[in-house]
Amino acid sequence: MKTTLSILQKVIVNHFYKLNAGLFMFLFYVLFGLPQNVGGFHIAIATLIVQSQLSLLIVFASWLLYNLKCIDYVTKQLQAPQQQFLTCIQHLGRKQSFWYLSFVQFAVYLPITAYAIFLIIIAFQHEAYLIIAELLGFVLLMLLTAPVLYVKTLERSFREPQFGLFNSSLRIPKTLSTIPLAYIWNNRKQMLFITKLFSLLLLFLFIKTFEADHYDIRPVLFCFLLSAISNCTIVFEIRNFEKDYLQLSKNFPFSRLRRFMHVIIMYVLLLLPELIFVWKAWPVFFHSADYIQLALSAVSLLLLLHTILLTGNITMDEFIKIVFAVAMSLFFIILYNPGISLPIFILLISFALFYSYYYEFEKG
Amino acid sequence: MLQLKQVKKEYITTTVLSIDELTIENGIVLLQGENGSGKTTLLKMIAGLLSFEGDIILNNAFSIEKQRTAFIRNINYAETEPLYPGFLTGKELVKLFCYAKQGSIANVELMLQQLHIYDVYKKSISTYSSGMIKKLSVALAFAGTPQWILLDEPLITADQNAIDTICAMIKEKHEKEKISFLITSHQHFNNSKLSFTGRLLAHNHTITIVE
Repeated sequence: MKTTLSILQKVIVNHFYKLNAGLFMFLFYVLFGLPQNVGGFHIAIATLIVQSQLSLLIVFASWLLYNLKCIDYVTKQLQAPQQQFLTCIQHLGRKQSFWYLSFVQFAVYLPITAYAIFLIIIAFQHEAYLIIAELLGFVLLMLLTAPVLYVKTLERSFREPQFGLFNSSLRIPKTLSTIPLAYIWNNRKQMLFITKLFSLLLLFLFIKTFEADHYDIRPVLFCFLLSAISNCTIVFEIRNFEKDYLQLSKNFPFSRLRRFMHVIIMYVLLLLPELIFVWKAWPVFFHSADYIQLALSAVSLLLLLHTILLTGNITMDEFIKIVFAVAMSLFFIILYNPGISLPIFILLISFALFYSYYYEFEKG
Repeated sequence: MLQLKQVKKEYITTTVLSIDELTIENGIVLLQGENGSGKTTLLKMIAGLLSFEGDIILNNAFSIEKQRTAFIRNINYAETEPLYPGFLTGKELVKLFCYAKQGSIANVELMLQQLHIYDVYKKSISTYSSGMIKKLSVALAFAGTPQWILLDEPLITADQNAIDTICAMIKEKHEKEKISFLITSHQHFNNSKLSFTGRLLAHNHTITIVE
């Protein structure tokens, strides 16, 4: 029994956390690194959640998305050719297989379960017993239904789950700017949806909770860049897609400047939800004239990450470290209020990298 | 005419292709050689897909190093094993290529009809067979008004009808529009269908003209 659990742990669970290390590191930094009073911040958020059914609904929606991500990952792992040996688990019988795979689900869903326990404690203090029941019911539902899907996957009587999230394909003109976005829409819907939900939620929470005593663009710029940087995994996916499918576009007679413009348009389109949503912070947190600085900062940041990926065959682990370093450097520079010169500087660096490495880059 | 000067392609420390001087005259040129002899590398270098040391000059006018956009405008390329995003339709891909190469969509559509894949034109590429994708890639290589078309193994996975059609298309384009072709192939070409004006041999990591 121990051996089986150990194999599942190594093959599926550890790989899941390794794959999503960037996301977890980022969340950890945002949730525990940014607030000055970590305890007070989290208790305030938890109180807000347990006192409102609407807030709880939003939390359940985000947990459900996370669960879909887990299910998607685990079922793909169970179907992967290199994991074919795991099918031997089903020889132990359905019940036994269910409990083994419940362990997998419990392990990958642990961050949510831990936070749910925290919410239950807060709800208990506020005597919100209905909320406690809802929290327990939801978490148990997530923990116990997913393993049923995993068992069916192992039995190969189960087709790859289709969750029906935006099943329609993107009907937009296909240009070099939009094809990578169409790929993300078609093939990485969950990633896109979770990223956008997270980045917009971050902006929303900032706008609702931050109280400025005087006009200063830096707090909203700081938050907006965090929102933009949460798109880093999408940037990585876009570059991977370009490496695999758009190499032939190097044979198109476009100048480097025109190609760079295509990338700019692509990231403006990708950041469109954030670029629109940030207007909720107007006019309290930024004036109309400062919008250009906000927008340019976010777009140039993603451009920089994109062009860094042109410099070599960078792995996801390496990329996350680079993103972290870039984010830290930028946030430190923002403290000195460099104004519009910062995004222009980033844009110039990005173009220099693009100009130097676009044709040099070859898939390793 | 393509002039290759001091062209060298290395991967880490391994030289895969090294050409001191080579002039490829206009015409229909066959490039032959064993697997791994550098045929595809040469085609990809001329098409601008791979970086390399040295320079390639087109018709004594455009250098890939100095006038890259103008050079590339005159070179079209079809890969051995084309890989296109499965969610795109053939029509979307044709539109993209014709926009980039400033070519006529109607002309490419006509070729797709000749190659008997026009009925799947509006369907996702994920539904195409490998033979259909290959035919699409060959048709896309004819988009626009290039001076050279580079075809890497254009006949693999093609049925006899498609082979005849592709040969006829190459012959017609060369005779009517003076487009030159550099073709790699392991398959035997029927001389009555297509005759070559020149032959190149890839061997020992270099390219030589076969007299």
